[in-house]
Amino acid sequence: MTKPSVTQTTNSWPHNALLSLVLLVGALHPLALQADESATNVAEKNARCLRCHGMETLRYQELATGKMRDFHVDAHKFSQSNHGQQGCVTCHKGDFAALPHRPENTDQYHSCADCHTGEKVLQRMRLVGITAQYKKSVHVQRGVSGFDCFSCHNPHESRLEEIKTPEGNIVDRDNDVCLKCHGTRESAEEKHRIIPKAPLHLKEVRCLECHTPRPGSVIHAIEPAARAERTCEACHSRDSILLTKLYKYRLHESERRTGFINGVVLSDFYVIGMTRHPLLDALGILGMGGAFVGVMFHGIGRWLAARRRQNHET
Amino acid sequence: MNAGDKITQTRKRKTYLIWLVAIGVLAWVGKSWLYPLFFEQYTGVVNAPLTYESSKTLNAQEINKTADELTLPYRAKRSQEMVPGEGNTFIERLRRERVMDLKSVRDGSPYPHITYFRRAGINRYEGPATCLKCHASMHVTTAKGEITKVNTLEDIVDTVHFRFQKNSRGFSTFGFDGREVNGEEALMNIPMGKIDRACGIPGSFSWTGWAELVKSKPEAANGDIVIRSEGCGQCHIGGNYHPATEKMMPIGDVPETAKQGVDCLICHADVYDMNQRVVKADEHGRRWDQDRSLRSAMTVGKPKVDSCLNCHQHNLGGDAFEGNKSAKNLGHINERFTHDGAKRATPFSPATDVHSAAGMNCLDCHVPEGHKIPRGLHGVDLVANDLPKKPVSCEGCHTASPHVRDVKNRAILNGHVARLACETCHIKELADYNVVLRDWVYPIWNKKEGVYSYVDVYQSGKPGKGMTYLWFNGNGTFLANALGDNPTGDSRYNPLMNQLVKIDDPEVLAAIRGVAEQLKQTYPEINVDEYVREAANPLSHFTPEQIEQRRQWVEEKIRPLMKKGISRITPFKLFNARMYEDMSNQGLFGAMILPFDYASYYETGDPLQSVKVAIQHPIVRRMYETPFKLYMMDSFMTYFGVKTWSGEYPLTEKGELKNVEKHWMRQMASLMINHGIQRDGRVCRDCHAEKGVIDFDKLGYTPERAKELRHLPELENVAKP
Repeated sequence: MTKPSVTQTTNSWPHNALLSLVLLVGALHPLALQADESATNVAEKNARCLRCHGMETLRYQELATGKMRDFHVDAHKFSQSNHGQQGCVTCHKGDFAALPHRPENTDQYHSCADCHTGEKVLQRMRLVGITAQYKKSVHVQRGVSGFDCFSCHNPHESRLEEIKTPEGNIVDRDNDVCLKCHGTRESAEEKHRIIPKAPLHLKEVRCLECHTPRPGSVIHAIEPAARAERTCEACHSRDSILLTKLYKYRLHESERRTGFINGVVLSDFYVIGMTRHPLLDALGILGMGGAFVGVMFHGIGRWLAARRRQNHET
Repeated sequence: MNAGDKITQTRKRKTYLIWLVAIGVLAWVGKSWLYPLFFEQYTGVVNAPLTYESSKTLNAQEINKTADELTLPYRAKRSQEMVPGEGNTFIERLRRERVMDLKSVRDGSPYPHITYFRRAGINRYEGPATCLKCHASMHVTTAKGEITKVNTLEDIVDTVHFRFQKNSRGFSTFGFDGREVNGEEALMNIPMGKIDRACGIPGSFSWTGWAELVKSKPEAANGDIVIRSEGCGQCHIGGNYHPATEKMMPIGDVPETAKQGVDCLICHADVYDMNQRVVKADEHGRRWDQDRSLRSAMTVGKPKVDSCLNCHQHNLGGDAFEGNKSAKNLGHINERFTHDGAKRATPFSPATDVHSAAGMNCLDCHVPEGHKIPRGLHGVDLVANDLPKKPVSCEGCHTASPHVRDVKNRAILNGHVARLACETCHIKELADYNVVLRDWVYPIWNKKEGVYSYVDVYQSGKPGKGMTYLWFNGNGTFLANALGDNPTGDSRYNPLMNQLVKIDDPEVLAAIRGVAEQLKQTYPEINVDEYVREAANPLSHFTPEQIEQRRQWVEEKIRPLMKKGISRITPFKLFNARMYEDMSNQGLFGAMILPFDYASYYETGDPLQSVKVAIQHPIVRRMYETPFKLYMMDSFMTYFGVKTWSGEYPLTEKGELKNVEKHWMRQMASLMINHGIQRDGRVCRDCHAEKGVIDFDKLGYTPERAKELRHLPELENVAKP
């Protein structure tokens, strides 16, 4: 069994920056009751729970439905998550002495909005907007039973994205969330045959890009399949919706750090049809045109030379 | 260019062509005629056309009678179903007899080959030749679902069941030098498998102990000599004068006559007479006989459980297992020996294995591709694997979260799956005749069998005694030690320096002492204390420097292998043997063991004489010569943890053994156990207790953690299942 450790940190600066951010959030937190408790204390208390819940395979398949219930908490990921400084029992209320725990105790847990209160926090976390979007989402509209924030967001692992996290990882992670319920990658590819190169799209973009309303910033309002984005130009154009979705955070960050123009020019994402720099476009066209003209002149030259030689021989 | 030049050029071309054809013809003659002749001359192996007494022609009447007999149980059952009891026994009998003879009932009976043989006019079974009349080729479905057509005979001849070795990649075994056997780093692939690996359980090699006839004087025969059969060939499907030795070479193939020795029926016949499996001697040599009766052939079909168990119950349950059917049919003449101590002592039978009780077929888990049968991804024992990439695992059916019904404990039981192999809880112990220590050096007279026999110094199936728990990542060392490491630990876990080289259980030590004292009555030179020390600590003759060297070697070369992959606590059967060793080829993990010649060992009880006879076998002599040294022995020894093969033949010209010593292998072997699965596994307190079956300290947990694991605070609150 892995002993949970909060002292395990990496040395990369964005990570440390993030950790400070997390700690800052923790300090501002209205429920920051544990703020005075040292991190070690919390870890020690949590260790009791993690003795069992740290087991990677602590899970079972429900007899009646065959649904897998997973009780594993990755101690390392938890310690690195935004909630990593919280005690388990901060959110999980009840009497856990009995083993296995009684259902009336395990069903009691806080939801996001129970803790994340107060106007400033709400504003910063955009919880009001998110709640409004969420209520419009197909999961709520269709009344999927047992659906809540935690169906998609694992509170034991969720954290603000590191700035340098590659989009690929974000895409994989986010799509895995959808695929937890919506079949497998293979079946998803099958369902999306309408898109050319479906496997590539499923690898490179998130389900959310097409399955939420355009434009951007409303990724919690997941729409039914019938209303999914079906026009290629939505992404493959200058005003690509990806800029308001997948690349939004990256774009904002690079703008903040390097200024608008640099941020845009130096960004390393590439989408066909979404080239962001007119100069590059012009250079590209010039290059192609130049090559064409060159080939033409060369051809004409050879043709003329051949004709002259023929005349000479006869 | 003038005319003369042209003629010269044409002549030149002609000469080239003639040379080319000549070389081609020479190569063909060489490969097909000269090489086999040379090979037989060089290795001393014999090939000759094979005949079998049981292969007899039956006339129409005999065929009908046999068919009636074979289908009788089915037809009787059917008539019982069709004719309900009326109370009048005579009429009932009459009606049932008529029903048994009805065409539809006969047509519905099993063994369709009875009809096929009639139609094809087959009235004698002549081995593969008969089968291949219809089954010359077959379709093989791969794991991916692709179907390919293969030559049936070549398919079977290429399997491990026939050749007993593979010289390709696919071993989950690593040499003590840290390299995977025949892996990427291997300079040259060598043939490895049952044919040539060292093992102290049988005490011999497949060449020196292939098909032996032993003169025994059993008590029951009142001093008369009774001839008995013994040897490795009894379980192997090639009925030849030697194992498929030709397949060990990079060129050449076993001759057609040897291929005709394949025993199709031992796997495919429902009714196979194991009494025919005895050694026969003829003018060419000795070989194992087969049941080649038409009666047996009439019952062919897909292999059933009993087909596999004809041979494999020997290593699963052992000869001592009451339900071992082969051990009850030892031969009409030249009876086979049975062996007391069992290799695994995990019988596959309805009473002892949950899958057997469920009526499952071996091939349900070991799903074959043609004649190739997978043995799973894990293995420690250097047995070759026909399908090394094909899993055979509990998870395949039971998923990685197998505990479903025990509503209260299912989550925590599944939680253990990350750290424990299924077998850890579901094989609680082995049968008590599981052999742990076998001493070949001090044979004793076995009155019942009438031969001198090795001594099983210790047998037990109990955890901590005959079996133990080790971390296992699926791989093993060259001498069958499980590789794996405690995932939370430092370098504390070290079986090659601790539990596999030390016996410290007082009960086991007392048992060894008891045997030593008994042996002393026959062999007064035995020093009992020394005997116990050597058996309980196979490194006892090492100097402190050697021990330190070994410790460093383990850290440097073996530890990285232990840390590979995911390790889980897995049960292993323990085994060690004392044999004679060729000390010219010695390393920190063992020396080359020397085989015994069964006949002289059993008859004279002189193990040294028996070694002398065995190593004079031509192929053992060749092993000590340069071609074999370069071809495989040098590589073999590097895996063994020895720099090179010395090539020093351990027998002087005067016939004295040279540089040969008796030793226990330097560490106990740990053999995988996977059968004899019990439905109800162990419960928490079997392990999490002061004297639990698992020794957490030896598994490399810190003393604090080990203590905690013995006294889990949670255990007080756990619901009773």
